[in-house]
This record gives sequence, C-alpha cells and structure tokens, in this order.
Amino acid sequence: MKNSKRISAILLSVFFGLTIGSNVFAGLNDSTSETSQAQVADENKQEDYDANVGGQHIGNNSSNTIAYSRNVAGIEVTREQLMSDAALQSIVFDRPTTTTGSVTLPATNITQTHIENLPAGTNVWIEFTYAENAGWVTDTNPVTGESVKRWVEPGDIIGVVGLNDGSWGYQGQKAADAVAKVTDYLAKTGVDMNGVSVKSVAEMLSDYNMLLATGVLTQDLLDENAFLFTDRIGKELEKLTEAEKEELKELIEELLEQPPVPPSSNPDCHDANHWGDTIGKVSVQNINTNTGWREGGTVWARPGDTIQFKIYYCWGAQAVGADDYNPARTQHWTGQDSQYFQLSATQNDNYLFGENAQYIGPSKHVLNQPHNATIGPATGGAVPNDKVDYTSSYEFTLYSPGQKDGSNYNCMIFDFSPYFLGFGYQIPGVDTGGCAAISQTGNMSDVSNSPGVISQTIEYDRIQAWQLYKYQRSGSCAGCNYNDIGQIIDHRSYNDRNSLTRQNIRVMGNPFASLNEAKTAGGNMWGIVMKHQNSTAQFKNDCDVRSCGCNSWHHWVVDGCSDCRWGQWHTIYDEHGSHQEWWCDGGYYNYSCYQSCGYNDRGAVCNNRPGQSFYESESRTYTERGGIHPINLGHQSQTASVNVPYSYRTRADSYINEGEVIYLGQSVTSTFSVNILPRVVTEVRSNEAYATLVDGFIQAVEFIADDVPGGGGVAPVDVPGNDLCNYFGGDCREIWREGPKLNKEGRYKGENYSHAETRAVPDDRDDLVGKKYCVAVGISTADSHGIVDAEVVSGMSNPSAWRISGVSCRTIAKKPNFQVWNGGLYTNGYIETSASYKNVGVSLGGSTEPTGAFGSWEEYYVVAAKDVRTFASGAALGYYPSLRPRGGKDPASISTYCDVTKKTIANDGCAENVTGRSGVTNTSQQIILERIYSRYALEGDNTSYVGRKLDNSARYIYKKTDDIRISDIVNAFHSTEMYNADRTTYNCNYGTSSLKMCQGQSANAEQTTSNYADGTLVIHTGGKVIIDRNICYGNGACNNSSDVRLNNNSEYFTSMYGLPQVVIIADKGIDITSGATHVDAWLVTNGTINTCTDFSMGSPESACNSTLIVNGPVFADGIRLNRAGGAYPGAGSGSTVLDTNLSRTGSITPGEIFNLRPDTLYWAYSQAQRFTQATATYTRELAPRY
Amino acid sequence: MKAPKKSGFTLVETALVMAISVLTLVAFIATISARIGRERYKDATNSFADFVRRIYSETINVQNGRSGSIDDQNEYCTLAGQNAHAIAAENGAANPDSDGYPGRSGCAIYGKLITFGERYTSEEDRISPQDDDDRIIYVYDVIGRAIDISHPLVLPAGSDGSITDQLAAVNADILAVTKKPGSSDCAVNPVGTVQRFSPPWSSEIETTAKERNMFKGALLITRSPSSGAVHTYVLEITDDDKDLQFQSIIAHNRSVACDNARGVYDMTTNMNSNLNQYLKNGKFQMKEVNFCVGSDEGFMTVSKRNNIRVVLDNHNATGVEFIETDLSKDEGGNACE
Repeated sequence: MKNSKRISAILLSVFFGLTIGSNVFAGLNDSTSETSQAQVADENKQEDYDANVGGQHIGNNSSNTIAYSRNVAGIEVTREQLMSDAALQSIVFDRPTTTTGSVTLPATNITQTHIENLPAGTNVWIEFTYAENAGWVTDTNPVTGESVKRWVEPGDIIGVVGLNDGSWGYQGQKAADAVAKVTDYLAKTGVDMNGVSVKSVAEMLSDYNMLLATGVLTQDLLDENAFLFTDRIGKELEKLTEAEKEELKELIEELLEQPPVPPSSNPDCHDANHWGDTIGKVSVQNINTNTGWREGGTVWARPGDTIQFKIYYCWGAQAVGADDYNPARTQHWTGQDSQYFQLSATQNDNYLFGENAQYIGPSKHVLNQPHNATIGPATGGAVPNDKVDYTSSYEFTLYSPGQKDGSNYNCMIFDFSPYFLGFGYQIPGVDTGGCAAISQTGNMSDVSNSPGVISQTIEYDRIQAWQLYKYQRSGSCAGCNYNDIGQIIDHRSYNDRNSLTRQNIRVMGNPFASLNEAKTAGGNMWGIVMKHQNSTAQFKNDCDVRSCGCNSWHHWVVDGCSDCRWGQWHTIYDEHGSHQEWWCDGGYYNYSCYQSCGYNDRGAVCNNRPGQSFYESESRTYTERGGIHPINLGHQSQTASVNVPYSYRTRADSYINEGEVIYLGQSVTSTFSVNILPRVVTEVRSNEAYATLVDGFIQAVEFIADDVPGGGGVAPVDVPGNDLCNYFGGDCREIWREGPKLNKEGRYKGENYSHAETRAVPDDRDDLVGKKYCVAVGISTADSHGIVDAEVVSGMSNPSAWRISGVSCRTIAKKPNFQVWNGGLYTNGYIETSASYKNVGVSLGGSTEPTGAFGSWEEYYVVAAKDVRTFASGAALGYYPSLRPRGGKDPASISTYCDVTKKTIANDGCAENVTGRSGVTNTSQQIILERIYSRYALEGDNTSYVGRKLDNSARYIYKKTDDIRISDIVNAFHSTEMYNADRTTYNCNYGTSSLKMCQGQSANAEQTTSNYADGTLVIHTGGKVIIDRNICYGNGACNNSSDVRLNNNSEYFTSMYGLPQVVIIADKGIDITSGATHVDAWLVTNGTINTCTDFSMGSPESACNSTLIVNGPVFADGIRLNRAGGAYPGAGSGSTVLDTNLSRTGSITPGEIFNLRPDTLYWAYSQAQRFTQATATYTRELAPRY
Repeated sequence: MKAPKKSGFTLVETALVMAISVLTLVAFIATISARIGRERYKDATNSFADFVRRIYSETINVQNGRSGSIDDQNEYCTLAGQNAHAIAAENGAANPDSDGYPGRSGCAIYGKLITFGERYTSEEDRISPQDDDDRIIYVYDVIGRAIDISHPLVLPAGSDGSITDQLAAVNADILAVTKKPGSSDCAVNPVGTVQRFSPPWSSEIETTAKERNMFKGALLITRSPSSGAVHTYVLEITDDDKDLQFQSIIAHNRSVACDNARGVYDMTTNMNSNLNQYLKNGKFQMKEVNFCVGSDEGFMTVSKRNNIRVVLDNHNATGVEFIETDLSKDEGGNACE
C-alpha cells in the first residue's frame, strides 16, 4: 500500500515533468533533543499521513521541513487558451524563472510542442500547490534522481501538479501512473534512456492513454500477435525485449484492473478530521463534450455520447473523536443506530448503472452501522468494495458506471475517438449493432421529450455530529481552589471550521465554568476543541525567556526571577508589572514556579504570566470529552441529470411506378421513401447535425379521389386520429406501416425507409374510370422541432404533426376491346390490341392476383400476314368458367398468347409471345374488293347511275363523289316524295343533284329472277359514308323513329335472295358517329372505318362510351376502333354466356362487336351461286360435338 | 169341288238360302280379314322402313340430345384413356378449360345404334327404357371421343383403318355410368337420347329365314370419325353364337366403382356396353341386311311380302329398300317368305 502510493507520486511528477513529489511533511517538533512518548506518536501520524497524501518522507530534519497543503488552487484552461496566453505559458513552460523568485525549480518537461500535440479541445488543468509555512522543500526528479532543495515562504507555489487530456485527474492520473511505471521499468531494466526521453515517453503514454480509452489495449496490445508498439507507442519501444514487452503488458493489465482514482478528494469530508457532517452529492459529466463534473446539474447529450455519474457520500459523525492524542478516527454514532441513505434513478432505477438494488436501490437501503462501527476499506461498507473508492475511511466515491462496468454499458466497442473512454454509460441510439447499454437499461433509446431522461439521485439524512473536549490543565497550584486552570475551550460549527484561527480561541478572562456553560455559550456555534499546540506556540513567543524554573534538584533564576529558591517567594515581571508572590516550592517538576494564591489576579491562567513559560501538552493532567452530539438536519437529496433531446427532420415521398393511367382490376406498384434527417441541437453540439429516434411511425395509404388532392409535401399538418385515411378521406386503405419507433438505432445521419407496394386497382364500381388512384406516405412526428437547428426549449414543438408526401395519383382507365362474332379476321397487316389481366371485381385493398384475362377476340379464325399481338382467336379471351357466364380467361392458363390463339394462323412466334404471321400477303383481298364493286357498287354521275347485278330489284342510294350521311337518308325515307307509304317502292326521281335514290332498273342479262335482291339496299359513294343513325332490320335494336329501319313489316322471306341486306360501299371511308350503336349493314370501303368519330381522348364521359354492334361483313383498309364502351368493372350480372344485355356482361363487354350475321352468309352464298362465283367442290362434315 | 192351292218357302229353300248366306258371309269375312292383314302388313313394313330411314336422317342431320345447359353439372362426357374433361367441366367452376375451346366437350356423336330383340335377363340388368318385350326396337346415340388436333385418331397397330376400328379407337359407346339424381349412387344409363320403336300390329322384325326367326342384333349407322361419311354395319346374332348373346351388347361391367365425386357419363370402355368390344373383334359386319316383318296376327297371309333391305354400306335413307318377295318362289332364305 505504501509503495503504490509512493509510485503514484512519482508518476505524477514524470508525466507532468515536474519534481514536486518529494515534499516532506514533518510536523512540528520542538527544539529539544529529547524524545518523548508524544513525539513518537507524532511521527507515526506523519508517516500515515504521508502514505495517504502521496508524499515522500525523506527525513525529519527540522531545518529542511515544512508543512504544506495541497489542492489549494487550480485553473482549468483549454489547450488553445494555454497556447495563446503568455501568462499561462509562463507558469507551465517557464516556471523556474517566473514563479519561484529566488528559489530554483527544476525545468519542466512540458513544452509548447507537447501541448500542441494534444488533441484539439483538450483541457489542461494547472494545479498549484502552495506552501503553508516557510521551510525547505526538496523537489526530486524521479527520472534523473536529481534533487533540489529550496526554501519557500508561505504562499509560494511549490508545484504544478495537473495536466491532462480532457478528463483530468482520472485519466491523467492513470496516464501518469503508466508513465511512471514505464519509466521505472526502463530505469530498472537499464534501457538506454538516451533513446527514450522523458518527453517522448510522456507522448507515448499519451497515446497509450488513448489506447486505454478505446479498448484497443485489450484487443491489440494484449494479443501477442498484434502487440505492435511501432504502431501505437512509438519506435522507441521497439528496443524492448520480449520479456520487457511482456512485463509492459502485465503493467497494462494491472492498470486496467485498477479502479479509477477520483479526481479530487472532497474537502468537506475527506479533510475533516474532527468534524462530522453527512454529505451526498451526485455529479454527471458528458465525457464526449468535456462538460466536466456537474454536481447536481444537467448535461446535454446525444445518443452515442458517454456519460458518467459520480456519487459522493460522506456519512455522519465521521472521524469524530479523533484528536492529536487519539488519531484513530473511529466513528461515534450516537443518538440513532441507523442512517437513511438511498440511491435512485430514473426509469425505475434502470439507470443506476450497475448498482445492485441489493445494496442501494429502490428499497431505500439503510446503512445500518452499529454504534462506534468503523466504516472503511478494511471492514467494508454499505456498498461493495469494488464499487467504492475509499479515499477516506468515512466516505466513498462511486462512479456509475465504474470502469469495470464500462463494457456492459457501451454501444461502441471499437472507436478510436479520443472522447471515448471505455467506461461510462454510452447512450443508446447509435448505429453500432450490438449495444450492451440497451440490455442493461431496457431502453432502446434514451431520447426523451422531456429533460432529465437519465438521472441519478442521492437521498440521505443529513446528520451532523460533534464532540466537545475539555482540556484541563492542572498543576500543583498550592493554595488554589481551582484545579482546572488553563482551560482552552472553543467551539465551532462544522461549516466554519476553515475559518478557525488562533484568534478565535478563547483564552483567559472568560473561562467557562463548566462544559454546559461552554455549550450554552456556543449557542448554535457547535464547537470543538482546537489544538492547544497552536496556543502553545503563540505563548511561546510571548513567554519571557527569562523565566525561572526550579525543581527539587536545582533552581535557576532568569531575568525578573532572581534568586529563585525553593521554599521562597520570588518576584517576576510580566505585562502587568511585577509580582512578588511566586512561591517556588520545587515540589513538582514542571510547575516549579507559580503565582501566589493570594495574588489579586488569582484565577487567571498562569501561563500568561510574563516571565513564565509552560507547555500544556506536557502539563496536561486531565482531558474530558464532552461526548458526541449528533443532530439530524433532515432529509437531503441531490439529482444530476442528462438531457437527450429529440433531434431530427423528415422528408416523405411517394411515387407510382406506372404511366399516366392505370387500369381497372390490374395491379399498380407504388414506392415510398421516408427520410429521417439530422438537425443541429445547439445545446448538445454546435454545428454538428445528428438525428435521433423518432417516436412515431410511417403510414402509407391508397385512396380514390375525384381529382388530385392538393397539399402534401409541405409544412407539417395535424392528422386527425393519427390516421392518414382520416386526412384524405374517401375510400382509403393503409398499405404500409413502419414503427412505432423509427430510426431505432438513432443513426446520427438519420435513416431512410423505403417501401414498394403492389396493390390492386379497384374494379368494383362503375364510376371508377376517370377517377384518381392516389397514394401518399406520411411520418409522424414531422420534426423534433418546428424550426431547423433551433435551440431546444422543452420537448418537441408539435408531437402530433405529420409530414405528408406529395400525393401521387394516376388516372383509372379501362381497356376497351372489340369482338368478332360468327366470323374471323383477315388482314395483310398486323393486329395489335390490348388486354387486361385483372382481379375481376376486386375492391380497394383486395388481392392483386389476376382472376381473369380480357381482351379483344374473334370467334373463328385469324389470318394476319404479320404479327398479331394480344389478340385472341376462338373467343379464348371471352369466357372463363369460374366467372361464367361473364367471361374472362384464366390468366394462369396463359403462358404465351398462343394459348389463346388456337384459331390463329400460323402462330409462328409463340416464343416471342407473338401470334399470327401467316405470311399470306397476296392480292386476294384486292380481288375480293373488285368483285364486290363489280357486283354491288354503282357508277355514273349523280343523276344517273349504272346498276350492277343486283339492280333488278335492289334499291340504291348513290353519290358519285360526295359524302352520304345516313340521317339524310332517313329523312328521305320519311319523305312521302321518296317512297310510298309502305316503304316498298322508291321514287327514283327523288333526290338532289348529289344524291340519287332509286329502285333497281333493268336487270342484267344474267338475272332471271325478279326478286333476287328485293330486300337489298346498296349505299355507294365515291366519298365517305357517315353513319349517324342506327341501321336496323326489323324492330330489334332500333326503336327510334330516326333510325333507319328496313323490312319493317316483313317477318318472312320467300327466298334467301330476298333477305334484307344493306351494303354500304364508301370509296373514302366510313365514319360512324356516336349516335349510331347498331349497324345492320355490310361495311365495305377502300379507306378507314372509324367506329366513333366523336371520340375525345382521355374523356371517360365521351360520347363514344357505348358499344357499337355491326351486324354484317366488314371490309376496310383499316379500322379505327374508337369506342370506349364496355370493359365495365366487375363480373357483371348476366346469367348467360352471351347476355344480350351488354350492360350485364361486366368486364367482357366490348366496345365494338362485329357480328357476321348468319343471314349474310346465306344471302351472299346464294348470290354467289347465281353467278357461279362460288362452287362447293368438297365438303367434309365432321361428327358434331356432343 | 176342287181343293184350294198353298203359297211360301219351303224349308229346303230356306235352309239353302241360309247356307248360301252363311257361305257368302264367311267368304266376305275372309276377304275382309285378308285385306286387313295386308293393310296391316303394309303398315308394319312401311312403318319399320320409315323408322330405319328416319334413323339414317337423324344420323346425318344430328339432333344433339344434350341439354346444353351449362348449369347442368351432370352433363359430363369423360372418356377412357383420354382424361378429357366433361362438358360441364368445360363450362363450370370445377375444372378449367382443357383444350383452349371453352364450352366444348370432348365427345362427338358418331351415329345411331338400332338394336333388335333386346331382352333383359334380370331386373338387375335392366337398363331404362328397356321393356319386357323383345319386339321393341331401341335406338341409341353412339358417342365417342371427339377427334381434334389435340386428340387425334390413333388406330391400334395392325388396324386396316376400318370404321369399326376407328369407332373403337374413339371409345364409341352407347352407355355410360351416371349418377342417380338425388343420390350418390351410380347407375348405367344410355348416354344421349334413346328412342323406342314398337312394330305395329304386334308385328316383329324377323330374319329372312324360313323359320321366321326374330331378328336379333343391331344396325350401326355411323359416321366415320375421320371423314364424317355415313356407313352401316350389321351385327346379327344367331342362336348358334353362344359367345355372342344379343343381350350382352348392352351388358355392362358391374364391378365398376361409382365415382360419386364426378357423377359423370363415364365412357370408359370397360364400364359400359360391349359395343366397343364388338367393334374391336369384328362382330359388326359391313353387309347387306334384309329385315322381314312378321306377325302372328294373320297378316302373314299376304301373297307377297317385302324385304326391308338395307343395302351394303348404306349411307342414307335411300338405301332402305323394299324388296317384294314372290312367295311362290323359293328365295333360298334371302327373302321374306
């Protein structure tokens, strides 16, 4: 124990380059050469004290010893201040010439370069030690062994003892220990010191100190294979042998095992040798930001910072009873047998940091010490020894967590930050992966909306205790009635002890008659007996050196006391004049000469008499202890806190990964991103942004809106019920939720959340087309504070506010299709349509799995010379059993489109999902067109025409070049001038110059039957035919008077030739307006057929939003399918495969139906046979399907 | 005075008159009876011939007996070895479209089978609408697996491509296992439609043998699965053919387990009639066949009888001919004598 302390003193010296460690405390001795028993006791005390304070006892020579006190003043400056302040530099760097005057102090080894090498922001502690008394002091350089002996006066600075790198004392002490040990080691092993200067070792240990802090020590230095001195300590240490390295390793390990040394003792308790007071203190520091210990205060911190609490406790009545004659400081515990003491912390004591509640915890543990118990390291205390630093027998300092607990409260294991110490409590919430702190406190993040999220509190009964002493000095004062002359009694409060001086000592003139009187006189000034040695020293100076003395063997006479003889009266002189009534009886050794009892100032203390000198310490005959007097001043507590404020900003974005439109029942993928961004909290760290945990969640929603909602992506808004669906309203579903806590690991740089969600576009309402499918994402809480980088006042500015992304919307659309019934398609070109793979009838939030495929199809065959894409044959996209009878192909059964084009010739591209490619590109279509023209078309001018082979009985409407509008024909039909009442006979002469209408004229020679075409109406023009009215046979679909109705009254026909047919031949195209939905006619044109000329792009309410049915063959150069009807949501309500009510066929409802009506086949076939245009050469009739 | 003269018919005269009248009446009655017999014979033969002709017509102009209701879950047509889906499955929720042609069954109608002399031997073997009268002629639909590009006609090795081989290859049959309505049990029933023809005037269809044996066998009027052409095959069972008892043509394998879950017309060969087996073993012959109409009702007194002849490989109604037989001649058993 003693050795280690001595080494510590040396370490301090080496590290700071000073030689102050060998000051000697020698205490007081008189000038006599004789040694008394009391002197021996004093020396023992001095030895103990040396051991305690780290001094070096080098002798007991009164000529070169002084008393001194430590820790009397100090200043903590920053590295930068030290670098810029000349006065400070003079103290640190040039002290030998500036601070000691005539006294030469050894040069310091701290240089400006050394300071420059310290990390930025490091604090430097300059601690001055003053001499209390004049005397000699020896400064020894432990490295060189050189000692310098010097004389100092009281108040002279005798040492600069502190310098460290930020956590002064603790860290510096450890560094100093290491320096000293290494230095000592080098000295012992004889390593060439020329290569290892003290300075370089100091620097090395400075690095080494960092190693200790970062934990690399245990990971690298203690690993044989990774013991890299070169990297960590310096090339100088490469000179060490392996054995030396091993020894150094052991040293390091030893250092690691040592508990931290407190930075300072507490004068309230530590230095109170005679007073008793109970003091509990809690301090906290943020090691990363170098806050220093803040007793009962608050530090700010961010997640990842390391904080540490320090609990100091000095309990009552300590050391009471100790005095110069009985230095063993036993505790006198009177008045009560127990003392209340408790540590508590926030979060149900989770933040006690390693302290087991068994010792100090929520159960209000009581320090139940017995009366007169000794509390100290030897016997253990109320807290475990390994938790307590017993720097005094009656106090302890507890570090929470302590060094040994450090790894249990760390989140970062490897971090070379100089701030990191390897102990303390690291606030969780840093992106480090495993974090032991969380498991200890149970809290993922210590961020709080209110200050003081982490705090520790000490509560205790403040008990003060004191002891009164009465020193009675008595001598053989013959004739005196007072045996207690020479009382020196004083009392002082505990708090006033430092102001105690000799002048306060009550002497003479007012002696207390009793102890009770003394107590009463003290009042509230609780007192204690002062050292009478001091008074002795005072009176020693006052004493007349001419004093006389006598004893039984001899007597002597000094000035004023001549002829002192035994058994005689003598006269002595003092400030009161002469007195002659001193009787020298020689009966007692010490008090050989005393005042006459009859003297008028009898009763005063005789040592004030001039010319007399006596020594109380040697003349004490009786000492009375007044007993212990405790008082409980009540419950006391102190709390230290750590504030970890929220800090973040947010950003939210949403996006729909689709084009401008999305389709009913199909899936749509949206992506969302939410960013938690760092911000600056000036209270924690200026100009350093960081983000903490977000105590909220992310919510993404989908909803249907009539139009794109405004807002979003702007300032935080309040969301009712914390549900975005309440904010947006309507048909809304939540599609993503993250939380309830975000950025759980508290990444300083924030955290990004992203999510992709595939959802189904609803298909369950008729009004969906044209509406908007929208998504948005929001995060709560939007920001930790309303103003970026604003100071934290208290908590968050608006915890209920949300940051909502801009709303992403897509227009809901549908894919109209067309169908070819009872026939097929033939083209020299290509066919390309679109298909829908939809979950039929799905509601918002339903499954995205498609249940039906819908698209355009034909029934019999497809012959396309080129590619056919997304177009089915065999009605394969028409009707799906599970949805029967309302259609839809099972999407799962479609691996390629060839699966639904089995009647397409030749499907030479299935691998490419391309069908068709028949390669048929001959001119047969042109031939067919010519044949149609040759048989059905007319020619001539507008007033006369040349009929074709149907002309005998057919009726004709003809224009040579101009367009023909069906509504005009209807008007003509309705005109009595045009035809007779039964609408069977037409007036050929009716018409305008551009419109010729007439019944057939003379038959061709080949025509032999008069009724070959009596139900036929041929409409032919060299321009366009504009179909703006329904054209119907019979009353079926046409019940409007404006419709063109043929054969209105006929139900039966006498021959197939006479079946009613309307053959529309337009050289330049056929335009169908929205007014026509039913066309029972052949459509033949060399141009384009437009199924709806009123089409308006993008308008779901288009006039073309109805299905067009063309019952008849269609021949055109191109077909523009503009109908937007059909493709309704859902499966419809029809009960049959082909419900005649198209509104009930749901998704399968087409925009256009081209129905090759059977009668056209009969009619055409019979017509063809008339002219031997068609001949059956082979018929193969297969067995019908059952 | 002379005695007065007596007047009236004598007893002889009266008796004579009465005898003549009786004879006349008898002769008249005999004449009437013969005429009636001839008319009935004529009616019976015409009816039978028309019946046969009608069957030809129905073979060519098929009237599909299936209800066509897609909601009828009993409308199945499952074929042996093909695992083809039934009609309802093609349209129903149980199974998806199997061949890319939704709503189309895997079966086709291959013609008619006219059976003669059916008689069930026990009530257990009775198949509706069998009657306990072997004069009744039944007409069944012959249904088999349809041929398409996905299910081509595959003839067995060694086949000469005959129509019967083709029919056997498509598992053509007339019976199927069906689930009894309202029950989980199964029964063997005709698939398709069944027609009954009862020869009028208690007549029966006989062979041309002098013994006037009842014709037992069958007339298969069928379409070629490959070409669609109509052909006629004859199965004639004689008493000597111990292995080919007529009634076995509609016999069925009663060891077949009832597939309650499906309740279908399961046309697996070994589940149903022996038609498929007979097709395979050549019992059906393409030959001319002559039917006679006989009766014990007296119209056999006609002097001339007509063969109802179905010509060799007849393919339409016109091949059903009347061949007048001169009973005074011996036709050697090829005519109705």
